[in-house]
Amino acid sequence: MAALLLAVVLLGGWELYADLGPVDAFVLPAPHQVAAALADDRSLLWSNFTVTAGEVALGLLAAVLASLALATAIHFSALLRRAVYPLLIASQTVPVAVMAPLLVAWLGFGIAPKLVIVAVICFFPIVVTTLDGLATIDPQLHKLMRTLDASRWRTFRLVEVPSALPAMFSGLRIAVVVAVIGAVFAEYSGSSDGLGHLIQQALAQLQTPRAWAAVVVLAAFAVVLFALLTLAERRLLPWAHRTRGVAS
Amino acid sequence: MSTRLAYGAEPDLDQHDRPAAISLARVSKSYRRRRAPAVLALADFSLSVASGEVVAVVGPSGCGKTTLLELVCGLSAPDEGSVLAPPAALMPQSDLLLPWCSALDNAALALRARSAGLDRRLSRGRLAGGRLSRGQARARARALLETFELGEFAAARPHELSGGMRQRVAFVRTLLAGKPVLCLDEPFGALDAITRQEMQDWLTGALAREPRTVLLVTHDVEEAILLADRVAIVSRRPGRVLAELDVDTPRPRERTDPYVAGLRHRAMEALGRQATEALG
Repeated sequence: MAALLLAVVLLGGWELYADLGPVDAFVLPAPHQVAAALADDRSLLWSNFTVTAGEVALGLLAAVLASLALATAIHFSALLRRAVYPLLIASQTVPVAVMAPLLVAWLGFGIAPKLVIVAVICFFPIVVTTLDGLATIDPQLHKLMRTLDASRWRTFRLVEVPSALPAMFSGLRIAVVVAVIGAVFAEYSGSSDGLGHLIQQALAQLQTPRAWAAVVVLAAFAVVLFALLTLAERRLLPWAHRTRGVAS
Repeated sequence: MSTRLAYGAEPDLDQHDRPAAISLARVSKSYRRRRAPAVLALADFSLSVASGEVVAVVGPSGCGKTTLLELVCGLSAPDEGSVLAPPAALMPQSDLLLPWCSALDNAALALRARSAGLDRRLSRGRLAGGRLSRGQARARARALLETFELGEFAAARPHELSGGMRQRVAFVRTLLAGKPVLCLDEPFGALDAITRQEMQDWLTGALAREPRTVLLVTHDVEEAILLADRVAIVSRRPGRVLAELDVDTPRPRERTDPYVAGLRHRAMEALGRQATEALG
């Protein structure tokens, strides 16, 4: 309710500013122009959306698999933690614009380089939060498991993994949002379809309302993904929500 | 860990009839601390527990009681002296129930935690039997929960249970570990006074039904006298045994029984002497 009210106020302000302010409509279209573009270009937006959504979904999947595997490996090996963690942080500072041409050279113009970019961007928050989740377990619980003759692996499986899941989900929620940004940037640096490509084309042709319409679709997509994850988390990890209390 | 001696060559975990005595002889144990002098938790500490006996260790906070239990459970090794103990199961101060598991699965954890025969370190000797499947573990856990009239709570998550109920489930988990010795670390320390009295009565009944060798650590003198066959009074850090009192009266015991009150007085005296010594 509060979110809806805020959105109405912001949209109203934007409308007034775009209609009466000093900025040209080519630079900032008014919300009603964007809405018109959303309606007029809906089939164009939809077909490009499916491309971007596919990249985001597959890229996220790759990121989740890779980051859980790496988090597990780092959790078990102090050597690996020392060796890999700094590289992991360094990898996050490489701008997509630098990485993309290389990936295109290696993997071509298809979906592969986009998946890599989305995965590389999403990977980091999942690894970091999962590792934190694995590390912040009551040491008493480890002692208890030792008196129950549990091996390192058994403790991991029965105690550490379940207690790290809420933290992993937090990372995942950050990841879904940056995945959408990642997919757009990946398309910017070489593609023939997708919403990022559409935005680039629309801006070049001064069809700013269409570009903004694409942005609206992307934003809605990110919100929906985020909400789906929150829902999934509540269903899968009900115990985590009892104490954390997510305001909504 | 090498100074800890395993008791017997291949103890059968489900047989409690063989003598399973705990014996700590002149044990000292200190802890290194980061950027601070080491703490001597136990010094010249000797205590023995006969098979099937319930011994309570009473002392002020920070008398090395938790250190004592960790030594007996094989979680750490003494700096000096020897610790002879059969496999022991630990019931920690906080119940440590897993919030994502039902009461049933929390109890069954004791059976499921045991690593499969693949694990080389554990496959020699006592654990060669491998572990139970989830279904088998649940069936055994359910049976024991029902024995203790906790069957109706089997599906409840820990947050749905009261403090006393959680401790009961934790106790069933400790029993299911199948060890001849139970180490109880201030099991009712976090409960309110009324629940604690209820739990003391409950534990008396539970141990009558499932007799084990028990080492109970507490700072509640009355609790020690109500539950134990013998009470060891331990000094402030570094902990050592000041006095041992036999509790020679049948269970269940009444708090108001003059014998209990008299023993309580003697125990308090022993603890008080130590306090005045510390002051003087």
